[in-house]
Amino acid sequence: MEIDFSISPDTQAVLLLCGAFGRSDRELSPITPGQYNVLALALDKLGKRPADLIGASGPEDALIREVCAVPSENGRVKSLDPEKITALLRRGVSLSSALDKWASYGIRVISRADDSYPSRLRRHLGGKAPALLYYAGNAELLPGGGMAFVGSRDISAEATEMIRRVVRGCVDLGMNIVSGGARGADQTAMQEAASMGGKVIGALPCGLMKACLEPSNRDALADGRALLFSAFDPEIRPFSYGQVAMDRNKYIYGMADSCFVAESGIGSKSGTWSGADEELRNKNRNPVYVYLGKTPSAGCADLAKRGALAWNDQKTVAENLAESAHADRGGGLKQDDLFSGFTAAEPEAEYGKGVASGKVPEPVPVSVNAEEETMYGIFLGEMKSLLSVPRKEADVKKRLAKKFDLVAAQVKHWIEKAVAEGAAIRKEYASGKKKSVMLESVK
Amino acid sequence: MITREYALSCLRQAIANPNADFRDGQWEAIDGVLNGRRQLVVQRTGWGKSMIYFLAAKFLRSQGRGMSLLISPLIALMRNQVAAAERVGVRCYTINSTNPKEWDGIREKILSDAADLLIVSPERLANDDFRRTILEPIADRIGLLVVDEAHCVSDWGHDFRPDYKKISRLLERLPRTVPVLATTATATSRVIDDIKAQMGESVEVTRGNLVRKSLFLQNIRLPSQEARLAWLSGILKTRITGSGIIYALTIRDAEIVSHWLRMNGIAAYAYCSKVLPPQDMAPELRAELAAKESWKAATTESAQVAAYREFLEDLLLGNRIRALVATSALSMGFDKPDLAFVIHYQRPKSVVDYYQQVGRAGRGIDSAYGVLLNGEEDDKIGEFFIKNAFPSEQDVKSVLDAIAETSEGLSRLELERKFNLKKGKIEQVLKFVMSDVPQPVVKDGAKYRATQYVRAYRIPADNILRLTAIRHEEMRTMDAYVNSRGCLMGFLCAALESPADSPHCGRCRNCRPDLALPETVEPASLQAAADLLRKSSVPIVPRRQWADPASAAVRFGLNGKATIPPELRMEEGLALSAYGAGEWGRLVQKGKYATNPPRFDDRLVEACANMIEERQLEKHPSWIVPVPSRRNNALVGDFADRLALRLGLPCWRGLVKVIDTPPQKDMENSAFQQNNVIDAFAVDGKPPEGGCILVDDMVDSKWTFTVAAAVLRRAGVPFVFPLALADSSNNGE
Repeated sequence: MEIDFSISPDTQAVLLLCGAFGRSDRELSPITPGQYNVLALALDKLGKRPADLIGASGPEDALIREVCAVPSENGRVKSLDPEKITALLRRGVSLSSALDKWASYGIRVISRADDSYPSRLRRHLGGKAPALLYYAGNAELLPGGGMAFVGSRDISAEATEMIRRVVRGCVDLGMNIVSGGARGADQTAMQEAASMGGKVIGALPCGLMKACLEPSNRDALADGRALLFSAFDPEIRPFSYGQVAMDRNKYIYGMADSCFVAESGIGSKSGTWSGADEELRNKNRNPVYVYLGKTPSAGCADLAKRGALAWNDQKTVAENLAESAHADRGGGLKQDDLFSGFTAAEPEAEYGKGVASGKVPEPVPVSVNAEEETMYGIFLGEMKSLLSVPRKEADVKKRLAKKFDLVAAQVKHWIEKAVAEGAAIRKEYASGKKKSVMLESVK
Repeated sequence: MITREYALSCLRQAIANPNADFRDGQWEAIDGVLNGRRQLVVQRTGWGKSMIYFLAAKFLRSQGRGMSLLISPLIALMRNQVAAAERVGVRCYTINSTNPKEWDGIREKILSDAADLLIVSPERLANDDFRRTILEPIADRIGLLVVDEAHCVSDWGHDFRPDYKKISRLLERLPRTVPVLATTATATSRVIDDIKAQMGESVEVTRGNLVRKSLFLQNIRLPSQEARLAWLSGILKTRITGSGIIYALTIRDAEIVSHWLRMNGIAAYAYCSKVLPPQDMAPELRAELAAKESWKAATTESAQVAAYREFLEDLLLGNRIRALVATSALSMGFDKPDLAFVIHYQRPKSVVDYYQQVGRAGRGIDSAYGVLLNGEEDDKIGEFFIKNAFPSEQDVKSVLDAIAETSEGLSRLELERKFNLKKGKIEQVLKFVMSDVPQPVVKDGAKYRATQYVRAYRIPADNILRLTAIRHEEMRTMDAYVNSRGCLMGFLCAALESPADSPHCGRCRNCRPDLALPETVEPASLQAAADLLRKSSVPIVPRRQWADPASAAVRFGLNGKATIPPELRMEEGLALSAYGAGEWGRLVQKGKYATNPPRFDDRLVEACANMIEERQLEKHPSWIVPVPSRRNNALVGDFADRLALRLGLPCWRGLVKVIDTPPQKDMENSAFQQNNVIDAFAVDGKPPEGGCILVDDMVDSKWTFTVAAAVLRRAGVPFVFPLALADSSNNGE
């Protein structure tokens, strides 16, 4: 059995610059995705590729100097430091050691600079397309395509049956089934596809190492029926980073031609709803189908109002798809060479059109019974139960960081969000010179 | 920018010689490394390869680069190297199995940028725990990778080593941003091509000739062991002066040779993987060892072994003993410039091995001996090593199937409980498959878990056939060397494809027959050696740990700890012979299988009695008890009766076998062996007063003795002295 675990010279460079190699405690932290985009753009302007950095002699090297001298277009990204870039490029032993470990699990890696990088993702996400993709399984599935299935974790029997029917229809048409690997809707779709011998593409919200060893995945990977991919370092365990689950939604949508939402909660705390809503607002969006059925879920009904297409369960998959071919699908980025995303439209995509265009979604009132589907939702639930008594903010931060294995910045961000949404109240008390910041729950 | 002049001044300062100069290629290799060009340096041992990486490491640091990582196979070398590096002003540390307590401190040193060179063994580097806890946190800082004994990374090399296969995998994936230096003394063109394929075609190769002018080579064919023993003691007393190394192929041979030499007044000690001080160690050395901090601090057996080996190395380095009798545990990398001789008691398996080992001699002196003795058993041992070099297809399949059946994987212990396979065999299977690509099994924490490649995995049979063929070819080449009539150094250089100045060294036995060492032995010495071989008993070292603590806990009402409580242990005992070897060993074989009905010869009774009387036991046994058998209780019982009569002690028959068990020799690993007999024995009636001798015909795993002794001890017997007629355990290393 011959499997090529080698990587392209470009990917080698991108990994050296951006790879975490399984550790978050590095003294020398990799550059951020934003910084990478700036660097890639700078290289592109110079007519160079990432691989050219491998030959650079040190911080004094002309190419490194030039690349680092290019400012980010809107000044939001911290500028690149030649010393740091050089030091990152010299992390060769970390790189080869990590590649060896990943290969032993059957994990390979490609970068945005590779031809085999899914052009669907590039087109769909522009500069937000992850610089690195880790994958395991059938590489022929990398181009993607097919139908994505999303939905709640706790899914009704009716929606489950509907998913199965649609999956069967798609597999009969030779379409791939794209999903996220979570409990509920995701797994229902994947299992149904697997039982029919269909091809499955899984976008995972965590590193691939654990998932690769799951017996069910193991067999599908071995048979060439599955591709698992992730933008996250292979060693990242589920729930290590909060943004992960939400980012993953983008990749599910991006890898498919269209998406089927069987059932959804409503509001920003529902991952299904947030993902679909985001997709509907993406100018490169794919058709989003919602199943309304006899008693539509609140989320699906709402999404239908926002531009999602109603799935007609009296018609076949092919008929449903044919109908939507006439529907408005938004624009599409021009197809492109090496750094497809880096056209004039790029920076806006990169920094989030929500912020750039001022269209921040309305904060959704938090209710105790709301679906705990997003990472933030889970976090909020835990925080609320902590705040059954008022506590010092520092204490809350410490406990939550420990509980979810989160970096401090992420905890801070979510606490700010919770306070801004009114899910918690911050009060400052002063006694003498000492000041303490307390968090309390909303009564 | 480091200039040659500056580098030379550093070299001169380092070796405190204002007139020193670089050897041809030394500076070029340093300069290449500093400029990011990968280097392969093929030069004989002692040429100065280490100076290349010491200076390169130093200069890289002065340029603000990270520390260097040196992968080197042996611990002896590491200690040597650390001292040498310090003389060059390179802050050097080593992480290996003997110093786990220092690991944290060393990691801190590296992270605070206070280290220039770290030396680790390939075994460490392939170890998952090491990679996670030590290597990964420091890997960002590694400014140079040095691979010593680089011929091992090649499949075409003389040896298949899974740990080196892991180095290949690292090398192949290493970006050009990290410079690489590979060094070896022995690389044929085929090996060089293979190393190049892993390091990149642009690697620059420096290659010198391997002739060592000070070495006098001679081969002597002496079929019997007693002849070789007698030759050794004679030659070391009369012709060869100075200190050196004697290589043997098995641990048992190393022990016999060193014992014989000590009996002849020659200070020689065995140096093997599990060696501990022998009973007849010189008292002053024993006292000195006892005073050593590392020996006093050693709480585990492996720590004692490490401290003792270090002690032995120092004795040899200081010329305080005549010889170490070593297995391949002391091959590559032992650096002693005035080593006066290297003698092989048996023929090594390849020219590469032989050159590596004989090349230790005469580095810094004008004259040294390299003598190869060739015995009747050499082919058999060679075949044994070749046959056991790779795991069998069947073993691989059963281990992989068992792992693949589980979703959470299996730990090493669980595998041992599941399979009637030797612990070493299970380890061999795991190491082998985990070095293969794609990898069917990974280690995830303590568990071995299956990957997606497990079902399709096939042992690379073609490759194994190819490697096995290479090994046979290497054995034949060694045989040709032994029988060569031409220049011996010329033969070695040609086999290793070394560029040579001249086809004749003008120094070896065949170039200068007038300088040859005599090939005859003293008849008296020959007789004494034959006596020793006939009589050499084998100690039965008591087990201290249960293989399966759970079943022992149930049987003896213990707490489930792995340690066997002292009140249940046996004493250190004796086996009269090694099974099938020497006069006694052959008599045992005959009595058990070639006599009808089976009966052990009276000479064995006498020999056992003599052995016990000579041993002058500290505690005097009052009675004898045979290990019972349900298959042939008469054989051992009859022998015990006769031995009891001869010793004037009563023979008690109250130890009984309560269940039938399959032969212990069919059990392949410790857990199976323990559990096969854990419930087998019981005491019928009250044992006599005082301690006893527990007699069996064969001892291998020691589990029968261990469990039977525990049953007796539990019944109130104050001590149990195990005695076997023959040790049938395999002592190969």
